[in-house]
Amino acid sequence: MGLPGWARRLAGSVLVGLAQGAAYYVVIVYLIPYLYASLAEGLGAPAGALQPPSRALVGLGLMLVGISVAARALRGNVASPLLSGLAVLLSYAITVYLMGGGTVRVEGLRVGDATVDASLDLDPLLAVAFVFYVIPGILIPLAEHFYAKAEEP
Amino acid sequence: MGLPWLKTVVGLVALVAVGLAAYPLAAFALEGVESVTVESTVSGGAAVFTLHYNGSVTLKDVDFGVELLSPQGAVLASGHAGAARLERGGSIEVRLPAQALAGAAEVRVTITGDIAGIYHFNITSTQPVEASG
Repeated sequence: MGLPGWARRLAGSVLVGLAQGAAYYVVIVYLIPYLYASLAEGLGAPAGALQPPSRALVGLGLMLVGISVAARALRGNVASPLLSGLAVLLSYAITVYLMGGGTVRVEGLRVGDATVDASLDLDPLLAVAFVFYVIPGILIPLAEHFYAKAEEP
Repeated sequence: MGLPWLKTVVGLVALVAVGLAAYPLAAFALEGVESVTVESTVSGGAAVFTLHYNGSVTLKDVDFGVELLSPQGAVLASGHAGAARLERGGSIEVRLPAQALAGAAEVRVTITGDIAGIYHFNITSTQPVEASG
C-alpha cells in the first residue's frame, strides 16, 4: 500500500524543489565566495582569504531553499512563478553583494617593502548574468505558467 | 511541462555567454598579478622603469604611470606611457630624469587597463626608492 497520488506528487515536488534550492545554496554559500576570494588572490591578496560562510549567508541560502520548495510545491498556482522569480532575483542580489557591489578591491596589501592597492571591475560579468540569468529566470516561469493555463481544457 | 525548448535554448545561450565573459577573469585569477612585473634601472642620466607583461590574456588600453615622491609626498617627477594592446612578452617603458631619484623617498607605480578589453583593473604600488631597485 503506497502513498495516495496527491501525496506522491507533493513529495516529488518537494524533492525537486529541494534539489533546486540545494543548487542555489551551493552557489551562494560556497561558489561565489570562492570565486571572489580567487579573484582577490589574483590581485595579490594572501591565499586562504576565503572565510567560512557567515550565519547570515547560511540563513539566506536556506531561505532560497525554502522559496524553491514552496515554488515547486505550489505549481499550478500563480504564486509559483512569482516565488521562482523571487528566488532568482534574491540570488542575484546576494551575488552582487558578495562580489563587493561589482568591484573586487584589495587595499593596503604589503608585498615586501611595497604597499599595493588593486581593484578589478566585475560589472560586465554581472551584466551578462542579469541578461542571461535574471531576466529569463523571471520571465520563463511566468510564461510557462500562463502557457499551461491556456492549454487547460 | 510547457516551453521546454525555450528553457533549453536560453540555458545554452546563457552558458556560452557566461563562459565567454568569465574566461578572461578565470585566466587572470589563475595567473595573478605576478604576470605583471616592473623593473627599474638607471642608464645614461635617466631612470628607466619597464613594465613587463607575461600573462595569457591580452590587456587593452594599458596606462603605465610612474611618480617619484619626496619625503613630504610631493611629486618630484612623473611620467606615463600607454599601449593599446599588451600581449604576452610585451613591455612598456617610462623614462624619468635620474637626478630626480636623488631627492626621492618613494616611487609610486600605477597600472590601469582592461583585461581582454572587458574588465577594468587598477593597480597602485608605492615603495621606498632604495627598495625599488
